[in-house]
Amino acid sequence: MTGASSNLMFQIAIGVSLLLLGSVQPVQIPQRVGTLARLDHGKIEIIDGSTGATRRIYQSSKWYTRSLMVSPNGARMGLIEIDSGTVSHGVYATPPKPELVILDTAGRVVRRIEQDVQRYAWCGDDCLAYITGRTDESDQGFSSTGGAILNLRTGVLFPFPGPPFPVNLFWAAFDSSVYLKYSGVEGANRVVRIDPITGLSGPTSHRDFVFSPDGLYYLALPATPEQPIRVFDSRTDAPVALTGLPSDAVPQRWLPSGGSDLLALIRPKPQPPSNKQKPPFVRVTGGGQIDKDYLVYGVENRTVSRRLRGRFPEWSSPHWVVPFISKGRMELVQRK
Amino acid sequence: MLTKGESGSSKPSVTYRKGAYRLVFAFLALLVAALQFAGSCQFDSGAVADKCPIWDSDCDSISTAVEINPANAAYHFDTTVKDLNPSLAVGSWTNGQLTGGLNLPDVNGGYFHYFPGSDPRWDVVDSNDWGTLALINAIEATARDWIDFSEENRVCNQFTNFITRAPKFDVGDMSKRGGGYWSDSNGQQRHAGHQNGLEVDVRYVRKDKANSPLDIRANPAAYDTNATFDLMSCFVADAQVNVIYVDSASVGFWNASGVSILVNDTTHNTHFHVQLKQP
Repeated sequence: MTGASSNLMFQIAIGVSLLLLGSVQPVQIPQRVGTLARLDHGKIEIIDGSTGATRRIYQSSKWYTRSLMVSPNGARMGLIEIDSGTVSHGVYATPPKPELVILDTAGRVVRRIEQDVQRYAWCGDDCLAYITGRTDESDQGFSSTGGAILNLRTGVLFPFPGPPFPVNLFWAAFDSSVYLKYSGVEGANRVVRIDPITGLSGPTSHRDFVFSPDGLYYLALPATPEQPIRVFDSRTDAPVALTGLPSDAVPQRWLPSGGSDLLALIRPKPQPPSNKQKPPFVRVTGGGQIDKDYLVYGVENRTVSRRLRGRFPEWSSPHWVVPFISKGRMELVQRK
Repeated sequence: MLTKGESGSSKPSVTYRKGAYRLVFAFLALLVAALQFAGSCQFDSGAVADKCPIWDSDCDSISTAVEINPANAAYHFDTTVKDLNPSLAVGSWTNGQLTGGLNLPDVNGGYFHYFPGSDPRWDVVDSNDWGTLALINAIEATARDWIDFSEENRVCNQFTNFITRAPKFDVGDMSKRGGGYWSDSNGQQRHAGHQNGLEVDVRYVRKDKANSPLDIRANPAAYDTNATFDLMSCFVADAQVNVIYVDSASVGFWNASGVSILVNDTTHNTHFHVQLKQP
């Protein structure tokens, strides 16, 4: 996909109705944007961009559901359904068992993968990459036991190399590859690249794998949550100094603009401690998402292109669309 | 013999008076000596004194339970003598070691020790519950206060009490013996931190008071926000807490103004992570 056409598609995609059920002005969603869906307590609902209406297409009977993801062409969706498991003597006797179910846009189950799928990604319209593992109470949430790339159309399966097995995966659209993250020695990650067509894999020198849409950079998650997400140059694996990015702006994700636009969250200024003795915590009531302040920062030219205020609703969409709502209306997010 | 009102000499003889005074003084001197002796026993000979807390019979800040824990036998603790703290946190939480680590007693009135997984090496007895004395004391102090409903213990009982909340909280991974980088038997990273004996994982508290797993994102209906609030407040009051990792979207409370203890981490939906300050 060229930069110009991807920009246009992104503009269309972002400029569509990312509705909040009546509180946002409806806008037409061109068909080529694909499917927008949301998961609500086991219910999958398709969102109609022109009317804002939602249509329930599937109701899970399992204990918990998560990780709703729409395929690149919007024709299918994946969902992880989980049984609760059993407990004995204060620990899991049978841990919660996750399964990956693949549905079409009518809510029909077209495939079920019952092998304790913990993480997955679409690696093409008919391509699924997934990691299996036994659920536990670790930080990871599971102990990895394997994984594979599956072609839904042909049934061809490429198992991941191991043990040890990968703990996370990422599909990079820029080179149509699946990247796997393995725990390395002393915490240093190992990133492996797999061709989903041939199943051939090979090591990389990357420290992590959340690549920018153009593949020139990637985000590396920190070892501890207090540390910031860092940006690395894919060509040299050297850290990139984000000059020009304000110190209170924290990198969050790439924007699907076809380049290397980074979305950064502006952290609120820390309040000075009170002189009065008081509890360290306060109850938070209510729910739902709140509007936050963001910057769009171009890593290639090290400049802030614009500021945003809004939120990302928890909807699922094709990988090249990111829903964003600002002041109750849709906002165009693009490079200037 | 003196008799009141009798004529003649009514005062005792000088010799008698001096003798009486000497007796009184001797008695007083003996009394003082006895008191001093009783006091000095505590410091000089290490004998048990009445003013040591019930959980620390020798007032050395190492609980009796830790001293008699068979896993700590190598230190040859003496419950009647002040022992030195053998533990030391070396390096940082994510790049460190634990020397002279102490093992947390498996049985306690205020906590339940659990294993987060089924690793044959790290989810077995005395494998995942080692720490510095500071961490051990933090857990034990919080456990004592968790079941203390006296008026002085308000911090740990702001929203809940012994009727409404679980009688024990659940303690998971601390450090492995010796600390350092921690991977499981399959080579998968178990923790990025937990390397120098200053960190512990604790389950969120359940409404049904059971000591069982809880995913507060998957099962918010079972989550006791108030009890967990009290538990974290208790840890902060009883220890030098640096940060606590929580799943901020699900935990139900956040830092008060000017406080930065709670840090968001979406991987902490089945437990929160208490990190003590570096010594």
